[in-house]
Amino acid sequence: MGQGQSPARVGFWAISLLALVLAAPLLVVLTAPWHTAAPEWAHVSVAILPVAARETGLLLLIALCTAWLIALPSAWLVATTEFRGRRLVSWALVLPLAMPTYIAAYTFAGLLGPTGSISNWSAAHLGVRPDIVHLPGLGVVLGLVLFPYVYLPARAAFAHGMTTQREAAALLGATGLRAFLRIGVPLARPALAAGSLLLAMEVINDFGAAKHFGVRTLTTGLFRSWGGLYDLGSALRIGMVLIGGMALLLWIERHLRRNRSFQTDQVPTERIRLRGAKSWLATAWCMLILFFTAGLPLASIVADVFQPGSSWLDAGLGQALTNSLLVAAGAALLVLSIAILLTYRERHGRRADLAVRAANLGYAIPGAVIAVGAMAIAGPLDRSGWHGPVLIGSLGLLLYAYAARFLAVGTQPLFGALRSQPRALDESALVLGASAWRVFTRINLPLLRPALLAAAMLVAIDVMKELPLTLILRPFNFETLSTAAYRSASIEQLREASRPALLIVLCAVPPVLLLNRLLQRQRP
Amino acid sequence: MTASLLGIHDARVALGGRDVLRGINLQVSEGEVMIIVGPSGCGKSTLLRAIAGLQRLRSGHIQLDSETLSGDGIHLPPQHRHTGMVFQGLALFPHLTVKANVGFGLAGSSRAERERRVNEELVSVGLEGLGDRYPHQLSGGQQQRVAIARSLVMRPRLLLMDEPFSDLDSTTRAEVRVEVLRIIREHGVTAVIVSHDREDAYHLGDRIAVMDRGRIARVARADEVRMEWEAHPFST
Repeated sequence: MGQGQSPARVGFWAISLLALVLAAPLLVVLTAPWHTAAPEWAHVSVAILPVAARETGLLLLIALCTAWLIALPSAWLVATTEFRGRRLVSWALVLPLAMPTYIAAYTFAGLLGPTGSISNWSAAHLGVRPDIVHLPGLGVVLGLVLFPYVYLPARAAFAHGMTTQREAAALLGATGLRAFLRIGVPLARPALAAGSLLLAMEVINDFGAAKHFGVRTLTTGLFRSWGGLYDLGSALRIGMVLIGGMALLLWIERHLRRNRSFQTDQVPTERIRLRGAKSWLATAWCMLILFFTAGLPLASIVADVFQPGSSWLDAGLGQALTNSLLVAAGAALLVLSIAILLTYRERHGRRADLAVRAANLGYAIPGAVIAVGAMAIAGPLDRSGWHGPVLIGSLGLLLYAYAARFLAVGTQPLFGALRSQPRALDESALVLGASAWRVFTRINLPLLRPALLAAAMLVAIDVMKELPLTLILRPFNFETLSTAAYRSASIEQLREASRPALLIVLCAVPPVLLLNRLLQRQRP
Repeated sequence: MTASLLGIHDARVALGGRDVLRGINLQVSEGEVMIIVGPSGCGKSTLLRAIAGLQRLRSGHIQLDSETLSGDGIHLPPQHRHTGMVFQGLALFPHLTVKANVGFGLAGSSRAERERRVNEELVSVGLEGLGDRYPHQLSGGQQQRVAIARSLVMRPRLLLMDEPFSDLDSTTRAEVRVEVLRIIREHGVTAVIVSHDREDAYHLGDRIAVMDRGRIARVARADEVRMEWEAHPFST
């Protein structure tokens, strides 16, 4: 708006304050040593922290390597070649994202664990009993279900701006695998770094899968400190370490992207038609990936759900589904309301507001860390006596923590869509006498409707899948689909866990396909 | 021509640390159509935005009908200047009908009053019967007239137009230019129009201000400038 407006400053300050409230759990964790004692820290820092840090690092490395091995060749094939079934696998390879990591872990453990169905069959017929329930096994499982985080940006990067470079490389004798390794991967490095960061966030956020596989990560260490040792101070300090780890990963990602924003021609890459055996091989590779990452776990869940004699939707599961939908809708509504205000501030107020930036960092912080941060805020308020103990164990605190964690999921689609609205629309409304708020509500907001819908769906599904935060903050006896799946799996009732798992996956598929569509429309 | 309506005195604007307008002086009389021409990047659009209040002055004054709009610590926001502006690309609201676009600025009026004024304006620009359409359902020339009607319905003291014909092909451009001039004359409104096109300048302007590198190089009657340009086609 140039510099000509005199915005309603009080409103903008109020919005900044709201953003600060949402950033509070993060700030509370970062300042833990100054306000919360940690009586068990001497033990935790020696017995839990070093092992947890080492195992988290190893897990991350294995998951990343697995994901790269799967995602890069698949994305290259889909984006730069034409083969049988390409259109199908192009979107179907995104489907594993619909499966939360803990559900994938339960499923793979049910198939390839020490007493898994495939392991039993193999022991009986081949004399070998496979067992993937260990750290490397979990790394591979996480890589299998999280690889779309790398596949999506890689596909987008390969799909644009590679034609000229590939033709030049071909003239210089580099085709096929050499072109992929020497041209494709290096040019796509910024996109790969961004995708790998998202994957790393998911691995670090995971609690259910690591717990089930007995891997001692920082997140399970945080749970142990809080739930086992009853020491919130130590849990907050582990949270600090986790935030430090995330900051390091963000720094590495920025460093990898720095000066790597290659100028490419941005025209759609011309796909080369593969023929004969090459075409079949490409199809076989993609189908194999699809089978192991989506088909096999999904088939296993469906088979468990529809076992003869098992009841499909009993009262308990019905209640969990209702609760999940309730918190998903509530959180989506809350996040969207706040996101709309932040979007207004972004468009019509002073930008680069620190509070807004801090509030948007929640998505990079593991759910368990946000949860203990929220506990550390709510505890003293509850104990202060001015309102009684109403916050801890309340639906309100749970929704607040969801909003703190998933605010960026709501704001980013809105900010992105807003940037594509020409400033002249606002200016033209201003010249016609409209106030900044009227411009926003009459012009900007109606044009944001598709982005609002996308943001609401993405927030809702993230909330439905979220486990560690829900486990820590849910009201007493309040079961959601994710906690129901966790509860059954934690007592080795994997068939029981499959019913809520299937419901979560079914709910997650439409938003995942929507995300795929949105990304396909965007150029890298 | 009568008394001076718009007065700009030593106006300076800096953007990103760079001087974009360097001491602009310009007087526009009541009922006059002033065309501002000049090469790309010379500051034409910035001058228009400064008059509209979308850009602050670093120094100098802008006055409209003896009221200070900018200068001396005053910066009247765009919504209080009673100027109308037709933007480059038109900036029609794509989700609103023609009627809603034209009536957007009449939020303070009663429903009946708004309806009456919108209908009157649509008739005056030759768009009667098209009020329920959306901008994308109109031709380029019709969209142009919606943008003008949207500004004129506010009864502005001054109409500003930024490259109003830039999106039109040459045949449509000539037709729309005649139509726009008719509308401006009929409304008796004072107008400042930015254009890079000499044909626009000849046909629309009473006077032409030639800008160069943030300054007004000269101001002259349109017929004088036209004769000069025809004699020296490559001069600015």
